[in-house]
Amino acid sequence: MMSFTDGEARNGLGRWYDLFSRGTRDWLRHNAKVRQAVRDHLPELVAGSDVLSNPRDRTVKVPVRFLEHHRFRLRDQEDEQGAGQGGNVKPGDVLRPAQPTSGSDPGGGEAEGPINFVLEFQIDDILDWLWEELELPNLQPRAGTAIEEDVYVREGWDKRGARSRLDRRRTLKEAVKRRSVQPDSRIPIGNDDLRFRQLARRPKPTASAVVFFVLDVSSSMDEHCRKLAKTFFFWALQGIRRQYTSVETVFVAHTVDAWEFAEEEFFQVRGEGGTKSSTGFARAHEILIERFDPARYNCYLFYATDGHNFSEDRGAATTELQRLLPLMNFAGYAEVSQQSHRHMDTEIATIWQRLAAEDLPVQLHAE
Amino acid sequence: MPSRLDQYIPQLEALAAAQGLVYHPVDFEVVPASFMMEVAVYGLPVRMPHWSFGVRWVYQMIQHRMGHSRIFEVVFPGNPNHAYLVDTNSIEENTLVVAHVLGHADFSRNNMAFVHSQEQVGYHIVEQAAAHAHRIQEAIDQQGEQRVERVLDAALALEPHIDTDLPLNRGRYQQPSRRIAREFGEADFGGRYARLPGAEALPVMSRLEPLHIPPRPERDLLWFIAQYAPEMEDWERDIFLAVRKESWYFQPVFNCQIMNEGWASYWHSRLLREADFLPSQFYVDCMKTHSDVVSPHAGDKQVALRINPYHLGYALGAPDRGARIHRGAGNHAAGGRFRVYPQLSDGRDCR
Repeated sequence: MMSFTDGEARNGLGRWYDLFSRGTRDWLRHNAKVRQAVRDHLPELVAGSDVLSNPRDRTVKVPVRFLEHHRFRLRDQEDEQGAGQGGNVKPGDVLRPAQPTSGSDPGGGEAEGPINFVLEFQIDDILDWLWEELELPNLQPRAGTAIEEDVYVREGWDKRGARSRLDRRRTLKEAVKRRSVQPDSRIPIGNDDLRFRQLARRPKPTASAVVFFVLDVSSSMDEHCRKLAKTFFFWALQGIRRQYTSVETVFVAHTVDAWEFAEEEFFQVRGEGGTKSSTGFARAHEILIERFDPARYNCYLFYATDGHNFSEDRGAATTELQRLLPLMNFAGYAEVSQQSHRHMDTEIATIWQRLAAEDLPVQLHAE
Repeated sequence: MPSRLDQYIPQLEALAAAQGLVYHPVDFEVVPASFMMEVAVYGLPVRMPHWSFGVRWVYQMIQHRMGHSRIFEVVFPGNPNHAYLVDTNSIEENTLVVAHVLGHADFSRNNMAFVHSQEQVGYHIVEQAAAHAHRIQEAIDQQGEQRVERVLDAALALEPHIDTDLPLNRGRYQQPSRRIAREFGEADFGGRYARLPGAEALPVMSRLEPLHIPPRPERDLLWFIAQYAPEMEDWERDIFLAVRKESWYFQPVFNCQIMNEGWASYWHSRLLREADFLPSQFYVDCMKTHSDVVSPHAGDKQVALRINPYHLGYALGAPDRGARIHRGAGNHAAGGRFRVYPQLSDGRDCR
């Protein structure tokens, strides 16, 4: 980080001041504090508008209050008037409210003013920090579903090959080598000197994935539940994004019927009436078959709901899920609810638990 | 250290002594610019770790990389004085800096604020600050970074709030009379008896009041907290006292900056002018640096965004007046020289 220009220091054992760099150390500590501030603001950050679809070039603004160290200072002599040290003060009296009244009160006590730096961060940077801290295990694709496609990669050289694959540099090198051991050779470049680049066929796991986010938007899902669901979707997507080069997202909302939405609308959708989760799964299945070839995509499904479902929908939901889940690398079920009962005894949770028992790639989680 | 500078330093010192400058010996050391930047930011060669220094350091580093800021020297007054020169500066610049440092050394030996502070703090603040840093590092190891940082945040926020008019090592407040102390001391029988239920029935007790803490408004907040904060651990009090001690050391440095720089700038220009051993081209190069340093404008900007202490101090102590007063005073004592600063009679720029 630091570069020393002192020549003497490099030859010898070094001078005493080479041994440390306090500036760097304290600067790193400061950065750690900024990170902490960012992490404290994370809920607001994630709950903000559409951060899911394409966070690559998105930035967030995070207010950081302690970039500048607070210092107490005395008021100037001139405006020192009635500072409240008179006779009628009691312990606990507030001399001046701590809240700075902007503009109207140019008193010495707030001359420095509250320093509100707003830092702009790449979302990806923040996620990188957080991901390190979360230390989650890497998402393992279901065994046997590693989808492979063949790619050609360059691999080695050969003396024979197509003309277009001639490696001129190598060929010349070979010629030079040969002529150095056969000084009286009169052939500048012989057939034995030719070198051709070779291609080999390699199976390569596909690097694209599609993620289905299915959200129950029936009237029982309130703002709190949506926020939790959004946070859950966000992190699920981040985990997947780390594994694949291209990730596509599909947003499906359902009540008694299901629709696909763009992300910005997705979390604003508010449905009326009851819940038939089977419709959501059916719609997801439809989209999957229509647009994404399960043989070429790694498919993920995340479903967030408060767990309530029409009991007459049970059979249909089970059937849909049994049709859908085998196509998935992984499916996650998150139950979000206002009450903190985490028993997983709701209608939909029971269905998913049964499917998990059938050895489908499913996990359940309650928030 | 470049050999020519090695030659010039004793010659300049002899010249300074002949001109009547009186100072503690100065240790010169040539250091890399990166180290210099740290010293300038921390104020001491080794100092306690705190993130706020990191912020200032990066700021300084950026300024330096962009060429907006140059550091010529840093002096730590003491006995001996420690002076650092930058190895990337030219020999002419460093010669000027040596003369400048001699001016500083004279100032810190004779100025009242410096003398008082050094009498109290001692002449080895560099070593003491290193010891503070070591103790704080131990505290970090034992208590964890978070806890130590909270204490340091608080202590450094109060850094300027010391009272240099009272001695550095102050005792706790004295009870106004021994009688009250005896009767109302916390642990004494008298104190416990006075607080018994029904004690108000005793008229003699109600007339006597316990000692107010603090008995009068207290300027030395760091000391007050370290002494009287009810729920602090020893290592926390130690941090407050360490910050206080360094603040004592810094106070004359900050308060006298304009005079100190003016004095040093006057002396570097004067010493070099009288240094007949310098080649004339060398002298001209030194004076170019001098005019940059005391320029009222920073760099090529045509507006002075803030006071340049070198310029202001130099202008106040103007070479002609300074020289005349110096000659008039003959054997110059600190008081005589400061007559050029009538408005600053107590030897400080401000309070």
